[in-house]
Amino acid sequence: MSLLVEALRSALLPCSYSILLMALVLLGLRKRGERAEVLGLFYLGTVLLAWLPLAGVNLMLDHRLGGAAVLGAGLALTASRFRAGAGGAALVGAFAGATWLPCVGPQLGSVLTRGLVEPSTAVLPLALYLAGVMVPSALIYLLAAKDTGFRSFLARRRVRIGFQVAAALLPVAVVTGGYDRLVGELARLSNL
Amino acid sequence: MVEKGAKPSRRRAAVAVAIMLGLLVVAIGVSRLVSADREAIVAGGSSDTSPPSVASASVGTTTTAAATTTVPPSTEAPVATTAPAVTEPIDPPPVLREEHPPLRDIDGWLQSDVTSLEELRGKVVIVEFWTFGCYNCRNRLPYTQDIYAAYRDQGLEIVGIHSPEFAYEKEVDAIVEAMDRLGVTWPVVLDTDRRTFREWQGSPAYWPRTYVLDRTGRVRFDHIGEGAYGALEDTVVALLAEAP
Repeated sequence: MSLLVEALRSALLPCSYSILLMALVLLGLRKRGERAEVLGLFYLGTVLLAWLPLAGVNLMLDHRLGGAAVLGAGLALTASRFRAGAGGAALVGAFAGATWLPCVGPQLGSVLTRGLVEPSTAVLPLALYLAGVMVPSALIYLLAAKDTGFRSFLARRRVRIGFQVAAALLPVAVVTGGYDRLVGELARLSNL
Repeated sequence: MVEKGAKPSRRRAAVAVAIMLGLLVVAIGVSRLVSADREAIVAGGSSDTSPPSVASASVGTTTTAAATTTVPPSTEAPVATTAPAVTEPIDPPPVLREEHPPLRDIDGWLQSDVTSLEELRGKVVIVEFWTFGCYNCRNRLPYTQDIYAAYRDQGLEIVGIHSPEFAYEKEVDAIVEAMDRLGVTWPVVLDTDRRTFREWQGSPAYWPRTYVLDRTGRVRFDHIGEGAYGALEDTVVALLAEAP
């Protein structure tokens, strides 16, 4: 429980902005009925890739080119009209998980320290922690699912195009370092 | 249109979730094999005095560190501000690495009379990876300040390795201002390109991360994140009591 509380607090801190940003970009790429699926797959991809390095598996997604390729593929799939395209959200989640630099509070610190030795012990705590971190994303998705002005806003053609443009720019920003700068600037502003 | 796609979408979601869960189960199985291998390496490699590679070193490091540092940290009492008498420890902290990794491509030291960790041989050294914008690193600082005040005169030194996460944390002026504001009075190494950060931790790497080196430079404590303050103090006390 204390791990979840720590995660909820961390959800508001700069270290979680990268995950929120990815979840927000995904929000506008699929139809309303598929958004829960998108968020779920994004979450699973994030958990998996946040955990795999603890098990000694490094897929090098934290390198700019590899990360941008996976992110680009994930976003392109999600934005596509393919039925299984929503699966691209798992790739975006994989990128988010691999590049996530968590705020390591006491609870997560214990999980990670132990997880480096016994990786299997870290899976469920990490999944729980990331569920807490993604609460703001889930709330926004929930808002988008309800019959609100936000939902109709997201349904506008121009807004959808805006999301697609953002999705196209994001991998470019990762390659050029602009993504790091953006997240850094958000962190700096939040520390003022 | 939306309602039309809702049911297949649920079915696809269920399939996708099942696949991902399957992957997780496979990954857990792999990790169990990996951790079994690691334990075998650690158990069999305790007499190895050669510096291990980063990947295997972090394994050996945390195998025993986990046992010593994962006590419930959030409820621990703060470090004593006056130094208790250093006594002979019952259980000396285990040697996690025979030799600490080097400081790789650093950009200099701040408020320090020394310019290498080797110059601190003979002292117990807390090496703390931090960056001033990191919330959890800032949360550790009061405990670090207390332990520094309590044990500095007995041979404790602290070296903060400032490894910036974001561009705004790379400016030396900003680091100096933050050190002043946050009360960082110990030597700080500038690791602007995070090479030392990677050299010590490998991947994944975290802020904050705390190591303790004994008087001969061996790594005797390793903890990720906040917490484990009691275990840290116990380690420092035990290492100070060891013969120089």
